[in-house]
Amino acid sequence: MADEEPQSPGTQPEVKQEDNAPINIKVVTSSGEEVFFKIKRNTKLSKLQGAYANKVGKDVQSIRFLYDGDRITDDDTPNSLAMDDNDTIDVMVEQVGGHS
Amino acid sequence: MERALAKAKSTMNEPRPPKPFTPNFQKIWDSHAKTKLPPFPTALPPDKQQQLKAVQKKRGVVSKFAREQVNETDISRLGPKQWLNDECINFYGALILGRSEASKENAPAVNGNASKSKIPSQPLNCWYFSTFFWPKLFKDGYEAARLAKWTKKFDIFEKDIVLIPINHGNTHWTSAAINFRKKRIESYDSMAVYHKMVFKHLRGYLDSEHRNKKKKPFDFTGWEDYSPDDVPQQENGYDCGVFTCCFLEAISRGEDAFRFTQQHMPYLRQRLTVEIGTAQLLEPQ
Repeated sequence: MADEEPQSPGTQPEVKQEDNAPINIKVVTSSGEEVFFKIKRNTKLSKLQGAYANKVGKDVQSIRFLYDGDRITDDDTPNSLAMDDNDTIDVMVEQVGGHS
Repeated sequence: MERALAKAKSTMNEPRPPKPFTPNFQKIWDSHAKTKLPPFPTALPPDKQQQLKAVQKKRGVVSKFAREQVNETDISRLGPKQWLNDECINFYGALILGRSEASKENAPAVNGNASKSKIPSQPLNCWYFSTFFWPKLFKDGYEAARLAKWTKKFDIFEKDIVLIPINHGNTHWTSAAINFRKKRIESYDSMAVYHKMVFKHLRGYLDSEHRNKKKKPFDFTGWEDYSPDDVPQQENGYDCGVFTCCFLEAISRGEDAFRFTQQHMPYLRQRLTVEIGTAQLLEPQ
């Protein structure tokens, strides 16, 4: 795809242009609350996670972020997860169990 | 005709060729039981004890595997009498999935029953849904939770078994599975509760996923809800997470009978600590 030959002139320049362009991401809790972020495609999502935790006043260790079911790791970026504009991240809370 | 008869008679009097070696199933099972199944251990061997200590000493992020990681607080939950959290269970699930995928690479004939039936404990072709799958399915439903996207990279209907840990009311862990080989929705609970909702919603999931990916309803012919009441039971208020991990590990190898009991839990907590802390499953026992 990185070939310089203009084989698909319609899409190729667009892809290059958007490589690090900001995208909108919606962070949704299990109770349906939504927070919107704009983040560059190469920015680590750990930044978004920290900002979200701050905003809702929670310890980032107590919440988990999922993209299409996959746990988002500290090194992930929108690019590394092939995220699209207006994509959704699910926030989940810690679960425990033992049964007393 | 007479010549043929004579020839037949002469061969009758010849010494018989040696019988081919055809051990029956019981013999294979016995030899397997003798060689592979010593009594279920109750303590880690000395070298693993050392590993256990090393894992317990670690601070900060203790271990990483695939997309999962655990820190010292998560690891401490594997200590005696502690409740397990999602991090421990999902890390363990990732290890089970990792083992399944590694064994697929070694044995490309995934559906070759011949190779599988000889070794009862060979990892099946598994998928593992994290502990967050259930609340998404149960509370939001297939559409609203966008669960179709959770399987965008693979076809769930090609798996042997799908493992699903379930958290109930933030107090209890159980194991569920969609077993495509045995056509069963399965539920294993160390408190012996029949989870009607688990069967209902996992059936609903199968149908929705099939309609989404294959454009037609799922055929439930021959499928049963399987919730055996003779599975190992916990005798306290804290071990269900360990039971859950052990159920998932065993069924990921196609095991139906579980060998661990309540008395093995202290040992299994140490074993899980080593497995998670070193990001490596130990040999099945």
